[in-house]
Amino acid sequence: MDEQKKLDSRTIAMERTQFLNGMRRRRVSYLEVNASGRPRLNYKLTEEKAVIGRIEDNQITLPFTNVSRHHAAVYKSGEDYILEDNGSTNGSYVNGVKVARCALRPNDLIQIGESRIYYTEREELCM
Amino acid sequence: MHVKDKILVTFWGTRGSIATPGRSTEKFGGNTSCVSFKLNNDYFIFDAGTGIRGLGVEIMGTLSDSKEEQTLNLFLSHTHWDHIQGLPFFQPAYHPAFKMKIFGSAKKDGMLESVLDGQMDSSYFPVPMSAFGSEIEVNEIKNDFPIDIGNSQITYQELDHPGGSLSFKLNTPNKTIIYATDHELNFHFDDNGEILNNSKLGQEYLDFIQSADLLIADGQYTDEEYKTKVGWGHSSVSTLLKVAHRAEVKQVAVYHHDPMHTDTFLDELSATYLQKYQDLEPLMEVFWAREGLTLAI
Repeated sequence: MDEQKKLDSRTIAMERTQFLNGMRRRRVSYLEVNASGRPRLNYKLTEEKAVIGRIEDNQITLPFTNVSRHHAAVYKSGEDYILEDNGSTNGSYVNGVKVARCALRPNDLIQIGESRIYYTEREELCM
Repeated sequence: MHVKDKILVTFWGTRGSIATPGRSTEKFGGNTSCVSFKLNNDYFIFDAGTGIRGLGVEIMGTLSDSKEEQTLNLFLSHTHWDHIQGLPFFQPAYHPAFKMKIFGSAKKDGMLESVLDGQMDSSYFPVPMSAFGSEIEVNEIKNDFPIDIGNSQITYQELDHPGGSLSFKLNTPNKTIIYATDHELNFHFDDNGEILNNSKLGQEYLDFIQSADLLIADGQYTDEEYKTKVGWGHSSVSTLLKVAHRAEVKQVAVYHHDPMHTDTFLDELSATYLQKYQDLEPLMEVFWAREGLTLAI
């Protein structure tokens, strides 16, 4: 088939590579943090480790007495985000199970102290 | 990850029968049976289904420059595909820094090593078992059990499964964890978890799991499904949980998920049984094992 015929056979007369020019799809992950008396926080996860804890030097601060200073962290490993407890006093829970470490999946509920944190993902197109 | 004097229990493969990759199983996992217990520097690995590949990647990532050989203890419940198929893809097996001690049933005399070797025959896999660069020691379990590793002891028990299967118990001075998959409890216990027909194996199982801190056990079928799978060598969830509760087990990981059970299905099943058990005395925590989960026991 010559080039013109190939293009004529398509709904859009455009090469696929031209159509997709530079467009990429990537998965973006968030922690939706619901802490008592504080506004809801939607924290976008990146390549950097996100530490969750009671004191101000954490990426996500939960200033409550039942939360350890550096309670847990979420970090990227391959395509996964992993929640890891830092040996906290009161533990980290995923869907009600006390975990040392857990590969997170969409809509997992993380409980740290009284705070509830949902892990979510969405696909985003980027150019 | 290292937590001093805690046993780190990691699920690398939770699926029974056959690997089931795909979107509908990404939460609970599609890899077949493999669980590791790590206590300080000792590794106890249970089964070598496809999940063991991920464990191998993690172990290789922690390889130090130390000249000291590291021993990996692998306990095989039995040699059906979903329990051995990952072994040829277990990277540490090819590396001289490791010594692999493999333990399995001696029921089929002289068979264990030949079965493992056979699945790496050139008809099935391009690399022979002789290419393993680690020191391999295959041990058929006879009268040399229990064995002591560090401060821990491993004991075993026969299970009811076509061709046989073994469960293993890790005892440390403070904790007891049991790995018991591919077992048809319904042949030995009734719907209320009572022993059927004075079953000797049933009584032995109850004694074996008594007061365990964690029981990882076969709960492949719902009650409805079990009716059409009698004799297939697996247990129904409700019988498993009733027996475990009777034995005062503290935490149960329902394991060896059926290939037809999607994440949505397992979430619903989990919610049903969590409600049933959350208010019972003594307290028993129930969860469905999922790939990528580590507990500190």
